[in-house]
Amino acid sequence: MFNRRKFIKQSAILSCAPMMPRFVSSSLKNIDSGQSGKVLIVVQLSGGNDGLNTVVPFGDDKYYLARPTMGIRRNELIELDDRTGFNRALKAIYPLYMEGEMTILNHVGYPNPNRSHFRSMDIWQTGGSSDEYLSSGWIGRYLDSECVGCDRPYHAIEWGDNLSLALQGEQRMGFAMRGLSKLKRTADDVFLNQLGSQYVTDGNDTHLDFLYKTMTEVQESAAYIVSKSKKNRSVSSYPDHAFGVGLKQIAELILAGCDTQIYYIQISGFDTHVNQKARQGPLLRTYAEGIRALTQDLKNVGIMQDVLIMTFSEFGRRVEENASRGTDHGAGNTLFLMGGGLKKPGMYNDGPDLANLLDGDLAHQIDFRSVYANILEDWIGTGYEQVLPKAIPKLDVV
Amino acid sequence: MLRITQQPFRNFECIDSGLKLAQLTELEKIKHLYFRAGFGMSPTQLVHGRSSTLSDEIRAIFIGAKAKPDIGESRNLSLNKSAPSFLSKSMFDAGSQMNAEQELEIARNQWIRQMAEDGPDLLQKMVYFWHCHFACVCPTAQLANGYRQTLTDHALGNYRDLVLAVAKSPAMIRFLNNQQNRKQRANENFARELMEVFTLGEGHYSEADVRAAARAFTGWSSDKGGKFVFRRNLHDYGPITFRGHTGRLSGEDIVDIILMDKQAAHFLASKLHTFFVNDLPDATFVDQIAAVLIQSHFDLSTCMRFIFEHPSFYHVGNMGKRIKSPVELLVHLIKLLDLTFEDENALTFLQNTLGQTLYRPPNVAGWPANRNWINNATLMLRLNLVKYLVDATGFDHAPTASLKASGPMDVIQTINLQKNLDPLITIFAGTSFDVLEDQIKSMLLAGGSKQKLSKPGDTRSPDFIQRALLRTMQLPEFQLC
Repeated sequence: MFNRRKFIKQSAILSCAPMMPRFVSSSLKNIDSGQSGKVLIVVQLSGGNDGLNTVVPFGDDKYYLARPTMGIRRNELIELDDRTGFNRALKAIYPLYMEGEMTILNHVGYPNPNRSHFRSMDIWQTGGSSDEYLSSGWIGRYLDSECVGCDRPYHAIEWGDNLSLALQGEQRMGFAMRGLSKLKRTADDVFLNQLGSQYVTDGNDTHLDFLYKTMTEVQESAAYIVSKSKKNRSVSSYPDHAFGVGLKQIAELILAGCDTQIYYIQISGFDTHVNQKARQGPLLRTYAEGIRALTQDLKNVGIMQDVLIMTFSEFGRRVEENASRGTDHGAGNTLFLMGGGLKKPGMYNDGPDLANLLDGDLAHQIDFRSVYANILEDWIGTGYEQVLPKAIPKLDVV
Repeated sequence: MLRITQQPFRNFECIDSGLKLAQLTELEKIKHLYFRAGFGMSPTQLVHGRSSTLSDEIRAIFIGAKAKPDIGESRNLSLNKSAPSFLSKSMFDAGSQMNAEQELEIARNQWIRQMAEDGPDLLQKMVYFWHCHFACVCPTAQLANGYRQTLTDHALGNYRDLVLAVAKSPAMIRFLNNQQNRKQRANENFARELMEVFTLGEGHYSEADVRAAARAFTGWSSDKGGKFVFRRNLHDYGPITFRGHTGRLSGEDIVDIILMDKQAAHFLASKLHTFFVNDLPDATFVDQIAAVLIQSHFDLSTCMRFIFEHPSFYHVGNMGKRIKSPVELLVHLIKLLDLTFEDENALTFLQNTLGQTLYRPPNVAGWPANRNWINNATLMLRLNLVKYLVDATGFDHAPTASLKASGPMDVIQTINLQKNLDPLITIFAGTSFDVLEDQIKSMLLAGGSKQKLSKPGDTRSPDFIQRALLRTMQLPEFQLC
């Protein structure tokens, strides 16, 4: 069996040797460092995906009562068991479910749910509770913790032009990127490179030192990622959508053995207050087809068991449909885990319980931080207590 | 009667961290004043400042602060009703929230334009400070404008009046759920944040204080038209015991009792010092500011004058020691380059992308400042921003996941704007080449720079002046104020 560490080591040596930027030499020594050798990809469905029309409880009449026009009929679904079925738009990832490479967690959320997009997203990204305001993200705090290789900004990469709070630590930060041409311009900017090399610090760790240090790291990271990206091409066909472009970029970095442990990507547009069906379907299809292409790329080189994909949204939506054939902001939601190393594939807990609602929304049964704790400890390989603010029970899914 | 003894101004010598004696010019002190009491100096202000004195400028900014800016009526300011060139149709289309967001964009633009005006520099900086302090998410332009009017009315007035006006501001009432705060069914959100993030700070109040204060604010609500209403039938008439005082306590009483605690003055003094002076605390200076607040019965104008007249304020160790917030950076660039944005949402887009959107702080604790503004994406955008704005090319940025965005990535490649660099270039028209670079750096940068901008072979030409100016604005040093 081809294992990812070996794969990365080999491809790194093969691919980087001819034109290795000067600063890479030290990181190459740590190439199989990421403490567990595992990769995590976080997919954020922005806007609040309607979990009820994603994993549909067709066996429950209350679902059709609450959604007289928007309920999806059983014969339009892909049945997962005798009560629940996939929205047909998820067809592309159904094989993952069938092959034991997917776990569906229902009723994931947190106590006293907040129904503002921004606030709830901050809660998910910081890993705080609804009454605490943290200025660092859960992945950022992992980077802050004493982990090998975490000092490299590209240890965690977000695809996009903005770095989410999730990847911002107190001391360290992830790296946002969208496309190689922009990175290349960053790496090649003569004036800014010259400034970086001329700057002399007085050693007082002033804000100016910090700005120069960050700038130099960005330039070096950009050069490193550009050098990596040229090496390996994905062979899958990704959807023609920003999300597809981003996933393809992530696949190519993984295939090239880029020394990155965590990738973060968003797909947005899930805030479906109006005419939901016409909007959610295409988005879910893009999502599923992108994930299928990615997993095919990973399987082609035999590293599926070393990659975990977590998909979440900041909240689910109101059980009852609104007057505009849409749904309003809700609470508890469905969370997907996908990869080759799942301990409990399939449906982790019972599907949506419509008998016990909280203010008209699905109540949470699983605290999302229990999932983070599980991933941090058992996948990333770090003690989760130093990353998450409160001691919470850890799940045992991965 | 307040009496503060203080040395008259002179070019005092100060010792910086490197134990080096630095003699500051009058213009350097004026520049520092404008970076902190305003958003930096426009070319006109720089020209004027060269022949002015610090004490005249301090007098001028307090006179300018008496301005009464026009807030609201934002609909008339709408320039462009069609889809802005840089937003694809998919982003611009439909959704009921879109109109609300567009009106907010107009409200933000109006405020940004007023921040960039010469004259009310201090007033606008104070309003901006209070927005950072009394952080409030405003979902509509109506609430946002009402809230800004409140902050503007009391920006340099009395702190007690300001706290009370904020407590009665419909934007804050809704943001902190005080309309759900009713007799026997108290919602403690506002009462808690009032003490925790607005007036006293964590650890300086008890849970009993929160419960009691919440009862006193029951019935403080707002109507559909966005006006404060006191709902008698929802108010708890007590008796209430709050921090040792018992009686039929009103919300006004709660604020008065809070402000009797020296900690309230100290908390505000500390916030003012962090924001206006230095984020590294200076215990002596903070204590002095707190003493002025107490002696003046929280007169904000007196307090701010004390800070800006204080010799420690002009310590070289305080200059260029803050990282400009996105709003401070944008306003400074607008002032320097006389920018007019032609797309209504361009400024909101830039705020989003740089990480600070007016009327949308991340939470009631406000924006974490300084190094928290910086990550790889925001830093490279900041360093290249002047290039993008002046050259109008090279921009290539996808907005933060918009709630509405779907479909292919909407990438923004142009920001339509008008600029005028001539006033800035003219300042240096008569400067001889050997001091030109130093002059430019010393005028534009809060803390100077040792970086060399010219190359061997450069000669004095209008081209060179423009290039040196733009390069100065590309320096990491330009990010400081």
